[in-house]
Parts: sequence; structure tokens; C-alpha cells
Amino acid sequence: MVTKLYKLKKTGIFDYVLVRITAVIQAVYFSVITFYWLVNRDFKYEQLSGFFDILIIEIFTVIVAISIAYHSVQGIWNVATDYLTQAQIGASAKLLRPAVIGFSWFQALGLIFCSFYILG
Amino acid sequence: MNSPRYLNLFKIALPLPGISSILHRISAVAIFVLSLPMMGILVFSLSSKANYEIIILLFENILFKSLFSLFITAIFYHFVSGLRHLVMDFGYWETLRAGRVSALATFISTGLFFFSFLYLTW
Repeated sequence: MVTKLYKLKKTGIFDYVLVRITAVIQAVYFSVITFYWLVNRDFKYEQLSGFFDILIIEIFTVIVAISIAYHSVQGIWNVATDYLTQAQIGASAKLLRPAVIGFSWFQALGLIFCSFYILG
Repeated sequence: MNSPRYLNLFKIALPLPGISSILHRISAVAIFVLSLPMMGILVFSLSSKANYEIIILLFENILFKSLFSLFITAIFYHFVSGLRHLVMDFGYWETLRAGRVSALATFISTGLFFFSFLYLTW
């Protein structure tokens, strides 16, 4: 099993599938949020904080934060390695590409940290 | 010698599915840049009732409200366009005609979403 996963990781299939799975998780979560917002639009602080006190929402907020983190790190890696290359923007790519990819990791960890902060 | 050395996206006329695809990336970068600040705002507004009122005041600012509307629209476009990509991953909508129609559908649905969002919030 471990070697199988390792092989999947090497071929990129693991990443390919996981990017889609994390996308679906986010799609469901934001559909629920949008539905909640459409049903009671003029909410006050009590309703908003009450919504994020629901256990299933709290759990999924953390799961979605992790999903966004993974999805964005993969996505920014794709964009950065496509456009921030020496052929496209010259020598500055050498510095800019690792900087952007590094920032995506910072952003990802920040999102996960914030999602735990919401739990209280 | 006349053949291009690489694809310069500013010099080639992109077909509709191509525009849809590149907008998926542009919206991705926009969401990426704004996601952590917006998450910070959500955490701040949830921290106490007084802080929530501060965020309500922030939304009175026309510049921030415009930025937020564009952020939400970018998320919706990325969502719809992502669904289209997901359908194509499963092997449907892969003909030229289906690609064009579904690309157009992402633009139209995003336009409808944008105006209904403005109608509901402004």
C-alpha cells in the first residue's frame, strides 16, 4: 500500500485526484454557506457566530481550510511553473518562482491556522 | 523561422474555451491573493461583537465592497469553470461544440451571478 501510494505520488496521479477531491469538498461547503446566506441574509453577530458554533460546520471549516491550502499550493505551483520560467520572464524567474511558491505555502499554513482560530 | 518559439498568450487569438481556461487561472490567482486577508477578516469579525461592528463599517466602504464583490464573483467563476473541467475529466463535453457552449455557459452564469449578487447586496 505504501509503495503503491509512493508510485502514485511519483506519477502525479495522486496529486491530480486529490486536487479534484479538495475542489469538490470546497464546492459543497461554499454551496452550503451560500444557501445559508440566501435563507437569512440580514444576520447579526449572534447568528454568524452561532453558525460557526455548529459542530459539523466547525469540522468542515477546518477540512475546507486544509483543502484550500492543498488546492492552492498545487494550483500556484502549476501557474508558477508555467509562466514564471526563464523563457517567459527571463532571469528574474530564478528568484520569483521560488518566492511565489514559498508564499503559497505561507498562505496555506496561515489559512489552516485561522480555521483553528475560528474554533475558539 | 516564422514559427513562434513559445505561446505568447497576448499575441494569439484565444477561442472561447481558451478564454474560459485562462480566466480560471486568473480567478485562481485573484482568490489566492485575497483568501488569507478575507479569512483574517472573518476570524476578526467572529472574535467579538464590537469587532463584528467594525467589519460592518468596513463593508460601508465602497472600495472594499467592490473588491469583495469581485472576490465573490471570482470564486463563483472558479467554481463554475471548475465544475466544467470536472465534467471534462470524466470524458463528457469534449467535442468542439460542447466546449464552446459550456465555455459560454460559464460566462453567462457568472454574469447572472454578478448582477444578482449586486442586486442582493448593494
